[in-house]
Amino acid sequence: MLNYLLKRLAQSAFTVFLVIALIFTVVRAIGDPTHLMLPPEATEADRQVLREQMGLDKPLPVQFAHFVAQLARGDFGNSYRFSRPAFEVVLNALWPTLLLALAALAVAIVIGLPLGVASALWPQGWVDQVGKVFAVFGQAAPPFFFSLLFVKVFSLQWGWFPTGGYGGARHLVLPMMALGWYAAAGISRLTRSSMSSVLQSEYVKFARIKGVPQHVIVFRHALKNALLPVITFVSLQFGILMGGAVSVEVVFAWPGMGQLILDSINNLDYTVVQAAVTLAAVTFALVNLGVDVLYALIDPRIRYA
Amino acid sequence: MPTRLPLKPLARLLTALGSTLLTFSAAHALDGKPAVDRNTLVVALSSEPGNLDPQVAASIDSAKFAWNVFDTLYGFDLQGNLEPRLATAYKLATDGRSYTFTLRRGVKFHNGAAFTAQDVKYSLDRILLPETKSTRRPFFVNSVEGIDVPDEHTVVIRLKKRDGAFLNKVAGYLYIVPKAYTESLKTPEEFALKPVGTGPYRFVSHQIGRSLELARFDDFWGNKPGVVKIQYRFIPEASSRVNAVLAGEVDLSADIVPTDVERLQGSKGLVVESVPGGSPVYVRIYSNDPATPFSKQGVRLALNYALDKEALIRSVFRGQAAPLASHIPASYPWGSNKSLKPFEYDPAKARKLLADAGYPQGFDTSLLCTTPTFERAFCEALAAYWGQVGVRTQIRIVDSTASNRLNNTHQSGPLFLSHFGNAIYEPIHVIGGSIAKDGTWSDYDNPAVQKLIEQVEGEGDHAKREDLFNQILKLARDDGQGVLIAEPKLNYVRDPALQWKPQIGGWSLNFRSVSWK
Repeated sequence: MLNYLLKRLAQSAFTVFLVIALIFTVVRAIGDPTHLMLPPEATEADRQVLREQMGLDKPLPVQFAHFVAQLARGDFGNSYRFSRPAFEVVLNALWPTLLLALAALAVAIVIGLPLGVASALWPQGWVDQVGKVFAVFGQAAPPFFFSLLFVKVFSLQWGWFPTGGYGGARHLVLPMMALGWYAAAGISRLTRSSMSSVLQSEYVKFARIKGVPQHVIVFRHALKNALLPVITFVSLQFGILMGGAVSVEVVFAWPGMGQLILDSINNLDYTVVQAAVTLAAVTFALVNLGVDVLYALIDPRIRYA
Repeated sequence: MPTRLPLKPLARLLTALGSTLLTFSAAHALDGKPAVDRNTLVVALSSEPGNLDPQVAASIDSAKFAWNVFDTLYGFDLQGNLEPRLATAYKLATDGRSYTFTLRRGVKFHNGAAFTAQDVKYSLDRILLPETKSTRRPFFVNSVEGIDVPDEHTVVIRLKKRDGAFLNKVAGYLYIVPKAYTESLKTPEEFALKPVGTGPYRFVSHQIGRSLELARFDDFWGNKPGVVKIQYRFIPEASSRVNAVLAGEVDLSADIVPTDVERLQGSKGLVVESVPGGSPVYVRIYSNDPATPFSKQGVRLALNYALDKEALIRSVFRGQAAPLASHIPASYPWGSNKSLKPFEYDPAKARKLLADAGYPQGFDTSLLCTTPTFERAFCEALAAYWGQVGVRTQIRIVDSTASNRLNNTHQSGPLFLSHFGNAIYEPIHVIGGSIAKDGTWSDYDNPAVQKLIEQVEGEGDHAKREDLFNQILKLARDDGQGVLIAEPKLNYVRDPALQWKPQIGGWSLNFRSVSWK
């Protein structure tokens, strides 16, 4: 088991290293930040002076070695756009994005799950019909469409919520609903189909024959089994919501990762791009590692393979 | 919609939603009510002034903040004319190579320190020092020889050669920072986190991506503004800025796009302010290569005559622009040749010019376009007009970072749709960059123009410089140096009760005399 763990750990470290090397090269290939920072009056000599100060004058391998050495000390360098450590800038944007994704997921579960269960219990009933329309809308229209719609109705028309910005719970409501609708649609449809197949299974029929009350059948016997695919789906949705938050972040001026990475690429603020991508790579590597280890614990065939 | 019963209420709801989408609500608009209170001004910006060190940051974003927190020796009024700030007078030596500034007395920095000549010297030295990573360094490093401090209230800046634009550079770029405070910081970067200046507002807080707050400085040397607190909010999406305005969440929004201007002009309870932007939209022509058609004057003029500028302005800029007659828009406080007229739309003349130049069948070429600076449709319209006279133009689209690099290194030819701003209201800034032989954005070599440019660079007399600029602009226009298109407007929306005027021909925001009615 230890061997397996070490092997997987080495693999993950290598993957992260590759991603870091790739992004390091790509950011530098996009453009030279001194062209954005300095006025057109700047001579090539002026640009070279700034490049030296930013460490951009050295050959790429030397820059990369320096970057890796810095990284080993947990230092991503300074963002020139904010004049602060790049990692601090990224962390500052990470929480709003996490908060939005978690809140949207909570909305999706709270709406999608009961809707799916009710649709399965009374197929072709009015809940099922409304649920269908709800799901079609949620899956067909992109989150930014709902963002704009919600702002028009709930902010401009009725004045219930602010049109955007980051602050208290009131600022969270509209973006989380706009983003959550999409996931809720998927959850409700999956729950419905999973639930209705379970409700037609032999053991549920048997429970009915036995005279078990309906609510016990639904909540104790059927739902538990029907939830398994839904849980897998929800865990996948979280990643999608983190990524899909970009358009919602833009509409609501939400200071999250998507907005930050977009701006940083446009401004060639490469330390921030590097820090953000590295953080994402490490997170994904760790999650994958965790899942693999979990599988190995459950299934001995994997760890001895 | 299907006729199934449960869908009917939903259909009704959707119809209701649809109708709300089409109408603007005036219920929560500005309407004379401050977003917070009468001591506070909330301003929406499209992008964030991230780096708060005015000597380091590039000008577009930083000027929206720095003009209110920092002072320069001379500054710009709303029209772009020079006015005294931390200096009360200046004297230019007879050889035109040294400026002696008399400094204002009794000025305090936000940290309580008194302002002296040492701070001016330190500020200039700091810009020149490579470690500061100042984006202003190129403006001074090649022209400043040294700076002397004969006494606490006088500074003398010596130049390597005459520079008629020097005073405007001082006004635009030489922000004064306190020597003792800045030296006490561990790194040059730290200043950006806690900036200290002498301006009417002092820095309070900055949360990245969220807000930037300023408070009125009670010991300010000049007339104090009427608003106690300024909150900047960053709203990147154009329609979200408009929504924030309509919901009454901000008192003022900068960067309103032309399509939103049209919609907002009909709304009650708010005021749309549109001013000339001072930034020409034109096509840079690579005319130096004798092998290309663009080395011929007739071809270059044909490109000008082939465009219906009025129609382009109506459709692309929604009327929010003026036709351009030379590289220096007419909104400049001085130095734009007001006698010049925009080229008229005359496709027949364009065809004849092309034929006379040896291209009766026209030719194939390409135009480089930058997104998102310009919409693709704009570039397509230009290509269509040129296509009608026989110049078959293929459009190449690049993003702004790539286009910046290509355009700064003479690789954006043969035609490049260009839009640059002006930060110091000095024609030579534009002419030196885009018309002069060695300009970063110029591929044009006209000995007659070049001779005038060399004269103007060493000329200190205002009237003589203006006369030289007029001659340069006429020669360049008549030679078809570029394809002159339009000067777009800058648009703002404000609460009717807010007393504030936008800067003409510049992106900066000046809150030195802002107040609530």
